[in-house]
Amino acid sequence: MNDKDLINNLKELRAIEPDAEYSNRSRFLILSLKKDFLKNEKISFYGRLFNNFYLTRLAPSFGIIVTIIAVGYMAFYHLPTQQRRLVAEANEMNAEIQIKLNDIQYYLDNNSEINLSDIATIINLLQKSAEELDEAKNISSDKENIESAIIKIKNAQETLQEINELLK
Amino acid sequence: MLDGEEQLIKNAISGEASAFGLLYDRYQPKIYRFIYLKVSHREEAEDLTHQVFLSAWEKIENFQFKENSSYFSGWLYQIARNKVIDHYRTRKNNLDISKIQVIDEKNRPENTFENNLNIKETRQAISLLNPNEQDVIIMRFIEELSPKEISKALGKSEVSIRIIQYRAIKKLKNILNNKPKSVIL
Repeated sequence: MNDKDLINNLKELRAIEPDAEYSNRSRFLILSLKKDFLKNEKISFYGRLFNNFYLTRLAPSFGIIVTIIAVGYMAFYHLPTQQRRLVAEANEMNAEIQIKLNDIQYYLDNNSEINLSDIATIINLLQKSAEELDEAKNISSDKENIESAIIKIKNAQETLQEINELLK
Repeated sequence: MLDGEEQLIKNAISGEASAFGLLYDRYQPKIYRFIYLKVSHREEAEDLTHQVFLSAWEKIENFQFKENSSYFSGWLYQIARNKVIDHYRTRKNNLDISKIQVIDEKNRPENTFENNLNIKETRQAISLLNPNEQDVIIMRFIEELSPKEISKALGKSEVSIRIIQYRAIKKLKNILNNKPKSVIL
């Protein structure tokens, strides 16, 4: 092999390219992090990612839903039993979601071995639960839709449980 | 530095994620290729490339324009080199090269361009060079950086770069011309 052949072969190595799906995922993960979170060295990368996601997508929804449901009825104790049960159920799920979110934060902060693929799955699940909570929020102000809202909150809760299992 | 890049970098430094996204699109394939050729393992290369751009985004305020010849790519290559060094330093189980190649091939069934035997051999021969020689060969002949750009990225004089390049080419030819098939394939 002479110099020219070698250099031609080297040039052909330019055909090595990263997988497009990986590149999009990596780009999304990096750019989804706010610079302020990146500067917080005490929290792991995944913890920061979750923190960011939690504040921008999850937190604005889940507490509000219960408030809307409860305020919508105003006098909780004067509600018919069935509706009172639904509000109580929403409150209970709200508390459980908070516990699960705390667990997820703990696992992400203390696990540096999670790879990009797992993180992508977790992000997808978080996205899914955020969407479910968004939908629940949008319909929960309507008395007719309270049961549907509860179902959506429950779905979000189950999705968060899936994330917990994945992290464990 | 490419057209418009200076403005993109300034915008990214001021925290504009979309500007950094464009820089990512421009340089990520090069950095991935650089790392992949050094670690010979797709998933490791993906993780390290991700870490390079995460660090770059985190520390972009530290990037300084010097005169008219400061190269963003050189800065990224510096980060990439350090990540690869840290990777090997911290890796508990050092696999030998032949094992890495076996894993690699299993992980890359989709990679048809490497069906070309010469290309495959060339890539594997690069993995037998020392890290400095790998850096120079990849930057000079695959990424087509000038000796001046390489000298900035590697923190060595242009004369040193030319010497390393000469030695690396000689070594590559030697490996490829005298390869025992059982080692390379």
